[in-house]
Amino acid sequence: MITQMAWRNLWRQKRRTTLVMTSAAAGILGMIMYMGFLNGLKSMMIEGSIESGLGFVQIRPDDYIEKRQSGLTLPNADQIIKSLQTLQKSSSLTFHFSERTEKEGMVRLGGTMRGVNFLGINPETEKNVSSFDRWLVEGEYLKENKSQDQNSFRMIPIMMGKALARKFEVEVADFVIISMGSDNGNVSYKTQIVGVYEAISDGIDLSTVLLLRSDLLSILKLPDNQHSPEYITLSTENLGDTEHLKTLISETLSSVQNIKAATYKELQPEIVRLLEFSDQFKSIFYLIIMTGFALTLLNSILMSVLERTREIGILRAIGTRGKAISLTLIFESVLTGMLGCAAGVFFGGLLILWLHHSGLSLVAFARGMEMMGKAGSVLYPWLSAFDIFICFFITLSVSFIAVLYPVRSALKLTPIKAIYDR
Amino acid sequence: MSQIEVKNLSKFFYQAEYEIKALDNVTINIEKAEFTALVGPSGSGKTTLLNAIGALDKPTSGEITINGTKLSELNKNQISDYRLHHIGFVFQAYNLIPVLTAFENVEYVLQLQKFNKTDRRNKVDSLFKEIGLENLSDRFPRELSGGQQQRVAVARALIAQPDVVLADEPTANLDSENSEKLLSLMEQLCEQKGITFLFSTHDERVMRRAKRLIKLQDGKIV
Ligand SMILES: Nc1ncnc2c1ncn2[C@@H]1O[C@H](COP(=O)(O)OP(=O)(O)OP(=O)(O)O)[C@@H](O)[C@H]1O
Ligand SMILES: [Mg+2]
Repeated sequence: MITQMAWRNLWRQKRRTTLVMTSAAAGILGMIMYMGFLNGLKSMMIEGSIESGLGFVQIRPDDYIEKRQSGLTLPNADQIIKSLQTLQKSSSLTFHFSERTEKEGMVRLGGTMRGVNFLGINPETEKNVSSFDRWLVEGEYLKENKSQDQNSFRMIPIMMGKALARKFEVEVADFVIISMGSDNGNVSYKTQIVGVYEAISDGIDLSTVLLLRSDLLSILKLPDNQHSPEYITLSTENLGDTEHLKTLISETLSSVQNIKAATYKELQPEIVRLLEFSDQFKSIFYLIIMTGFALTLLNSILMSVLERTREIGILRAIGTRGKAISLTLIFESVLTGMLGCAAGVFFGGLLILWLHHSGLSLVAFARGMEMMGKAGSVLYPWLSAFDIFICFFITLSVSFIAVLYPVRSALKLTPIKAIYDR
Repeated sequence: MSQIEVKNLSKFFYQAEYEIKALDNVTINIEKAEFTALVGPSGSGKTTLLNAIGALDKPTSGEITINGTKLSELNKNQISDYRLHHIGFVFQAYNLIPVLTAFENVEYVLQLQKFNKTDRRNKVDSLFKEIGLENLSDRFPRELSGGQQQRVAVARALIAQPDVVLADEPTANLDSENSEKLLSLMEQLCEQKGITFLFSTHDERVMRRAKRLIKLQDGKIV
């Protein structure tokens, strides 16, 4: 009967209860939206970075991992690749890897010039570790040069981002000049665009130009002993397996000197820092919302205790213990919070679901986003079951804490005070 | 041994420098199944005495013993249980819990006593039939007249078969017809069930129906 009384008490002041529930719902709605956006932003940043080349794990020279020294080649690359191939066959964890060489340089056409990063790839293995092949919107993906005749003339094929192609007003089959510094000074080559990709963000489009690793090496005219890749990037099916993959690789390659495996988090610590910061900010946001809700709830329950003073006195007088009075109030509070929370989660969830499918264009902020990393320009908010659990859990705790003071004042009411108002 | 023994009971209130002797060395004995009215002018201490016997308030000095139990020796929860099992209260007005129906208001006491649903239903139903409330059982207090509310309050006071029913001016808010009805009901229950009734009143007609009168003046028995 306690629950029944609590339930009916709630609806004695319909407007007040509705108002308090609405405030809970609004707060939770805000939290849900915030969580959804933050999740979307995180995914966008992580996936964007990973899919555009970072991979889950990279094998790099020690000096890169420790001092970020670039332009190095991977020592013992042949041995590493052999070990990885063996491991691929024996390990229960499915993973892929691909060798890369990177070089900074310039794309030029007429009077237009832009600094870019040339990513030298092995096209077939690259498909498994990044998404450039899937991002192709025009022309075709890079193909390994099969021609045996080294002397026959062949135009170097490249793939560039859509945004960059638009800047140069070029399309598939057009030519651009690429140039970069090599051991023999600055070298320039006329290249042909074979494919145009559109990554999840303009930032990637504008900065990354793909070409065959073999072509990049021949442009740089490196001696044969420096043909090793700069690094190897690895991926698995599931981002959650990153640490597992790293451990596996580190163990397998423990005998190889001067190299290290590092996860995307270690390679781009700014991502991790940004995520941590956003989590901290999230906590502050919750705290503010929930403090507001707690005060509203406290005020409302306190008012209803005041209004029901005589009733509480009667209940005590006929033999109700303090515990039952407290329980009634706690139940009322928790019910208010939970119903409000459910409404907030419901509407917030629907909104997030809708935005998850339609995507949220961030074009207006895209410039700022680029600076934050390699984030994209369409955000897909999402929620996990845990996020929803957190909403309910926080509301439950807050409803519980907010009612303590009203409970205390209700327990202080002796029947005499309550009934005779003395 | 009497059912209610009040011995040298005093209750003082302090307001600023004044000491108000609401009860001043009161000694009375009330036997089982007595139908007693507590009378006296306003401020004479009637309510204070009823509250002390009902263990709603602690006296300044003196002792109340009911069925051999000294009230001063009970702790908080024992006092709640004492009220639940031995005392029925009827207050002047607004006795009922507004969110519960007439039936539920009465049933509530049985639930506190941990009766199961069927027992509760049977007990309340038969009491309501006995005292003519069966047609009102699903109404909420706001849908009942003052007299009907007081009758439900009496039913609630009685449902747990207490030893004593304490009623502080139960008829004060009722017209004479309803007062008569309520008193008849109380009388009937006193005789049939052997329950002790102690009620305060200002009303001459109500006093006349009591089997015994206890007169108070300035906190003293006269
Ligand atoms: N909580 C209190 N604080 C101060 N004085 C009190 C308190 N309760 C009762 N009194 C005083 O004690 C005296 C007795 O009060 P009580 O309520 O018992 O009288 P009563 O006989 O019930 O009067 P009435 O017929 O008006 O109900 C009065 O003088 C009253 O002012
Ligand atoms: Mg009085």
